[in-house]
Amino acid sequence: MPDIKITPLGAGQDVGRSCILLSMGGKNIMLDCGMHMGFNDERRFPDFTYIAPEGPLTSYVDCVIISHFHLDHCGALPYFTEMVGYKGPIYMTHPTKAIAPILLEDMRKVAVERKGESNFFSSQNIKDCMKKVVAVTLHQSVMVDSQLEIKAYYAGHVLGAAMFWIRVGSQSVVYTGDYNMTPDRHLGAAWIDKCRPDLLISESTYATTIRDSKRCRERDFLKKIHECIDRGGKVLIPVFALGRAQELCILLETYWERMNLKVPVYFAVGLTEKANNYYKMFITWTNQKIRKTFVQRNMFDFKHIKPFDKAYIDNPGAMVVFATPGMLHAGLSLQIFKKWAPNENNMVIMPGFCVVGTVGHKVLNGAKKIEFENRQIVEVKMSVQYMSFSAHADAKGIMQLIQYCEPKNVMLVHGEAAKMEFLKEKIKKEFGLECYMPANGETCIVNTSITIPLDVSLKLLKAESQKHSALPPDPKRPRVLHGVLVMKENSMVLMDVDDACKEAGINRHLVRFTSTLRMEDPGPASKTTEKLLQLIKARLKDWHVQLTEGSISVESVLVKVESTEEEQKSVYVSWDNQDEELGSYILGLLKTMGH
Amino acid sequence: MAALLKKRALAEYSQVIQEPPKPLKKLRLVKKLISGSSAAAYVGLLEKSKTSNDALQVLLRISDSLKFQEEDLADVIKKLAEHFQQENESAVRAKILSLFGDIGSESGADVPGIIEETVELLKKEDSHKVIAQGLSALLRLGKLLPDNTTIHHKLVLVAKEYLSDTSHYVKCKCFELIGELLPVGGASDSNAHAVMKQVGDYRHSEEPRVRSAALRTMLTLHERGLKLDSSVYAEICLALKDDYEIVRQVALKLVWILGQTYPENMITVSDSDEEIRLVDDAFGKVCLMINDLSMRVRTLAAQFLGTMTLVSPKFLQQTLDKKLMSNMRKKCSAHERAWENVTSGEWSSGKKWADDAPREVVEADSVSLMSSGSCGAFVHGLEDEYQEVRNASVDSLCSLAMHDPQFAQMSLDFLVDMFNDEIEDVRLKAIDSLTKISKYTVLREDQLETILGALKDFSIDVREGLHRMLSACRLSSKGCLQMCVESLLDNLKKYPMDRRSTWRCLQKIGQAHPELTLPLVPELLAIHPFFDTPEPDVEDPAYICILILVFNAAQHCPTMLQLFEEHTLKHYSYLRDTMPNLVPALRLNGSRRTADLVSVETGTAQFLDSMLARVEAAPNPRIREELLEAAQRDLTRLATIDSAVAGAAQFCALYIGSQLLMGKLLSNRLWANPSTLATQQGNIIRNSITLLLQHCLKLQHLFVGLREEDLAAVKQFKLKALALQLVYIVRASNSSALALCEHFLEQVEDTQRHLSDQGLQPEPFTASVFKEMSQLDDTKPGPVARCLLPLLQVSSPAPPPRPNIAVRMSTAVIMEPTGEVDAALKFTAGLVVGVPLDAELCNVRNAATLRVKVKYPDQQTQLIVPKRSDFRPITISNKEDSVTGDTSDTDLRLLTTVLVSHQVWTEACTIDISLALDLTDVESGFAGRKPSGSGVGKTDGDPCVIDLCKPVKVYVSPKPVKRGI
Repeated sequence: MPDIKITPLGAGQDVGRSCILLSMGGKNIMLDCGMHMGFNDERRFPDFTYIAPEGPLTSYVDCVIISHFHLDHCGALPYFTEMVGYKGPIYMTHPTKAIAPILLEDMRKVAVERKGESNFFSSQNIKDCMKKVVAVTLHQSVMVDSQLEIKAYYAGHVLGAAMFWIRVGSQSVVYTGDYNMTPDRHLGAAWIDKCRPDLLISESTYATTIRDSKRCRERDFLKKIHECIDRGGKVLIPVFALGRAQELCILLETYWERMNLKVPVYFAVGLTEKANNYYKMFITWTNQKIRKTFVQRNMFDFKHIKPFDKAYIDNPGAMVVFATPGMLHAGLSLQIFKKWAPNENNMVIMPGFCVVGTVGHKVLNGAKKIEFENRQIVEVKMSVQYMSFSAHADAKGIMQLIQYCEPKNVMLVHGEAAKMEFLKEKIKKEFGLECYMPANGETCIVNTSITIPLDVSLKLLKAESQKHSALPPDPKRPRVLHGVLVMKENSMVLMDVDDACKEAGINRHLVRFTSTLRMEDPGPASKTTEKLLQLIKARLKDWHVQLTEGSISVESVLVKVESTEEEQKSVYVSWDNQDEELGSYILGLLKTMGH
Repeated sequence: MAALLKKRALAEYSQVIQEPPKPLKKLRLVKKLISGSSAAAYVGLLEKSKTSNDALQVLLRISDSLKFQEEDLADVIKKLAEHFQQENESAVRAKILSLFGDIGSESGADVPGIIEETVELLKKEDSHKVIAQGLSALLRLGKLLPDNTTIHHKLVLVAKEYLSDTSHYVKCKCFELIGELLPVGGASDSNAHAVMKQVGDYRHSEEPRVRSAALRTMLTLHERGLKLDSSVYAEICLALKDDYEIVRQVALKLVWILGQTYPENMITVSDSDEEIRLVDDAFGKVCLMINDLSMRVRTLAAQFLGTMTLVSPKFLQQTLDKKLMSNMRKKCSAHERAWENVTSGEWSSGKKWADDAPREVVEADSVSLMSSGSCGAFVHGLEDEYQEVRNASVDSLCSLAMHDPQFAQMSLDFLVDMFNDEIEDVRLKAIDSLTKISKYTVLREDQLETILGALKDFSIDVREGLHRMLSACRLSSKGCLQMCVESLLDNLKKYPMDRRSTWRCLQKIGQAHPELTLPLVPELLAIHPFFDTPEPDVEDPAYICILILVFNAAQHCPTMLQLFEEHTLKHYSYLRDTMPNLVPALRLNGSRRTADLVSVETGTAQFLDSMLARVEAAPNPRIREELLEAAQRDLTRLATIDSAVAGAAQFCALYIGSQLLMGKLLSNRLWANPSTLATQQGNIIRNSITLLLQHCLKLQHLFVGLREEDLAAVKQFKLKALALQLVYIVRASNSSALALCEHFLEQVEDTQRHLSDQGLQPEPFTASVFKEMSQLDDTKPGPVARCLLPLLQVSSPAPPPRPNIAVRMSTAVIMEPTGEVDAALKFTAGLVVGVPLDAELCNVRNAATLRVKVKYPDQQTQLIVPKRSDFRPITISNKEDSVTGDTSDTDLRLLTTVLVSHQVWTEACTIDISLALDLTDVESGFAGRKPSGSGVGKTDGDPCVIDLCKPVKVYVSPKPVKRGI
């Protein structure tokens, strides 16, 4: 089949609930299996009935690949395996396999215990699901079955994030998941080799953004914190537990170390501590600095960052606190915010985007008074800062990745439709590549060129290569293989003519074409032959033209002159069917000679 | 063996085969006979070996020993060639050919013959491995005949034949050979160009290793003088897009070389008719490679950028360009925002969310997402994942900025950003780079603010780097200066050890910005128009900072002088006296110091000469002695007056002093009577001898720049002192003098060798010692001492060597601790406490002998070896006195922590910390003592420990361990 079919069940012109179905060469692959954080009903999971109306899906999906541990990329996995009933292989990297269950468990707790949902997967489900996972390492080529091969590449973004190269037969696809082309404090930049896939499926969260240098942002962030603690203020940084939190921790930790600061930094404990252990272990997945220095000291062994206790909220003096959740909508971060907001010395730094309706969003938009459920009104006098620390590739980064892996087609997912449109045009214009951006549920067919694999006998290849090497390489010179195409049961073989004859038990017959020309040329025949030789030699410069026994021979072409009468000469031209082209050329040459 | 090695080394690098000196040759022949026979025997064994494996073992043994007699060589080659022809295993054949290469580099080998033989053998060969090995052997042999162009021609022809081989390995070897041996220059140039073209064809080869080798050959040929043609440029540029990094690397180098070689050639841009200079195009290509997949290529590209200084400013400035946008709307980068804030006259609030909010909508068509040409190359390079690339980018940015002031101003923001890099080396490099370009740039307030933020850094390197940078930079406004001074004072408060560095920094800032300082003077000095303000404490480092700044500015701005209050003037004269190098001379009206001393031609050097000449011309020993005494006094004084001759004067004074001491010792009548020597009075003599020996060591080790004559004089004097010691020990004590005597004899030998090596005449005393010692058959202490005593007694003091201005004496100054702290350092007895030590060392010859000497009140002395990493070279700018000018590697700064520990004391006491040279290891056997491993427990009386500076007192108090908590 010369085409690749892609159907996004989620993340098609949308962010969240990444789930893309890919079928090529008779294999069906599910890329990511995420959930949507914005919904609380069945819409949060991808619509798996699309694959098959009911019953087990194992026979319809050959494998599932998870790019990284964020819930919008792996959140629906236990549901898919335990409740929908998929039993096939699941692939993810080692750090993802380690950290994903922590996040899944946390989400389950929130959903079941706080919101009281039923019909949600259980802890046991998560464990069972994880047992089915096959962990892969970077650049390890894994054969899922005899035809399907996958390989992971480093993607930055979060610890363990990977891009996957998937090959079936001669068709290949690269799925990026989320990736980051600029290194940060704890991770390196995404990297892929020139694998030239038929299709690159890239995320496009920041399709219309070109970002400023990371250093400026970091410096701003640090300067603001430093100023605040210098005047004795308290700094609150609401974060989500994993990913950016670690980056900010490292940033602050190294800054504290460099500046020899003594002000306490706290991190509200929780799942972070568990996750930190994994961060400490997967050093090979981090950036150059951490990898090089971990022998002396593991950067995730924070010296200045201590666990937070609720009693510290009222402690006097400067401090910096990281608290979850990131949008100030509930939990500890909100609690601290209520206490600290009325003091103008204090500061809150929002390191990421806030959804409309959350306290974080109100605060960022400059609300000076915030009312809570129980009619409690909090005056916001503390300074409010916004600092973007997102780890997605920007437009330039996406273009760079395309440049690196040189795909034949590009598909954009995981982004807003309007923004994708812009990038799509750009890709078309600058690379001349076909670019797709299917919506959820929309199937997209990518045509790929057909390549037919062929076995060639070694002898034939060697002979050709010897011939080819004899002359200096010239890209314009064609490389010709003379052979017989033999079709056996399922394979095609190109064989040497003699071998093929032998195998088929046929005697080899040679077909020779002969043609006679008449021309008028006084003088003896040898003189005419001499003239013709000069002519042919002049025209066929790179060929081996020789005179043997009164006849001119080039490869298998023979030209012989016989004199019948005084002035009339008959010229015989004869050639093998192999040298048909050459023979007819010489014949034509002789024919048109007089004109 | 050594001779053999030397000989082989010579054979490797030069063609001239030198005949070694005769006595050595004899030695070599003896050795050759033994080993030569063995290697030849191995070759014999080869014939008997049955399997290929055996043969290979034998060959390996030959290559391990590899010693042949010259007459054997031809035979060995013949036998090896014979074996080659009948061997089936390709590995063995390859080994034989590699042996040919080895044998060819032996002396006396017939290299052209071996080449001939190898080429012959290769003709019938079809194993790729063997051919490749043969070609590398040919290359090795060909290199041995650097001038033989005929052979080279022949070899190149052979190599060209093998280019049609199918194996990439063989092809690569061919290219290597062609690149190294193709005769270049002169008449053969046209031929060479043809070869170059042929080599160039192979950049289309299907095999990346061959492509890379072909390009590398072009590079080698170019470096050997065969200029590349500029027409290949377009072709080479295509190779930059190769799939393989080895090819891209070489192609990048070639593009760079072409850019440097033909900068002004015009070439057309691919998709338009526009013509641009080749160097500009090459620059654009190199810039593109900064986005390469491979880190090595990126590093290389970043390095090359810095050297392409010929590029047009237009392209250069694009390297820092990056258009930002957010959500399809144009956005300003932080740098641009900062710039706008400054130009609009309003200070950045920095408090608003989205003050970096995107502005106008951009046309989708106008945005170019692909970097084309040099656009944003440095932006990418500086943000790279790998520090190698970042480092190279910073270097390149700096070196380009040094050539283009406008670019320097633009690159400022980016360098300042690098202060925030996660790796300290990169930060330091950024600071250093900024220092280098600071003479082209003027700092704005916002930039300065960021820079000053880094002053809070804990790393002393960063801070001192910043101080250097600040002292070199130019500030734009009064506000800048004020901010700068405030931050420096803050820094000083936080890190008091930066005192001296801060002072120097402020001195330079003051000198450079007098007109900016003027309006700040009242504020800085807290001068009130009506009221008298309290007089600040002149010992306060922060106040000194301000004074240094103001006085240095006042030097260039006479109007400032009127502003000073009375106490400021008083403080001026105090500081001018205490730190003359930081406070300049000011022309104060009516003060006593209207004119400072102007340095005049003093002629101290002549004085030195004449004084010593007078001593030499003394008519009789008594006058001579008096003259010497006077000379010693004068020289010591002279050393303190004129720093230019200080070293020489100190050296002479010490030498004369030692001579006098020696004379006094010898004239003592006690020598006649051994029994009195051992008495109480004898003790004085013993102490004097120890002192004398220490003087000798000082003369020998404390000075740098000694001439050979000086050294010879010192050595001979030391010999004399040792003789005296030996005689004393033998006559006056009953301790064993065996070791001493041995050491003395060693010294005699050593001195004799030294003198004969340098071709110097020994002094009369030394000469007679040499004579006596050579006639002596018994080397026991008794007889030696017996014949030394009369020699000593008749000897006269040697004249001091001619003064040598180049001589410098080692000195050390301890900056920290200052010894002025009243509070005692408390620590638990038995545990350790760290005392930070900061010292500057000048003219230290061997830092490995330097020790920190800690002396406890119970007279216990410890010598602590400082870590090698605690020493850092002193750079010119932070050196205290620039008189000496040359910053040799003998000037060091020691920044370390001295670990102090002791048992419980009842009250706090002071310990002495000083720096000393410990020569025990260098002078092993000196004074008859064995070198001891640990430096702990040395006593003061050891002559091998030479103090470099006065001790500093540190108040410590070890507390008893608290029990039962």
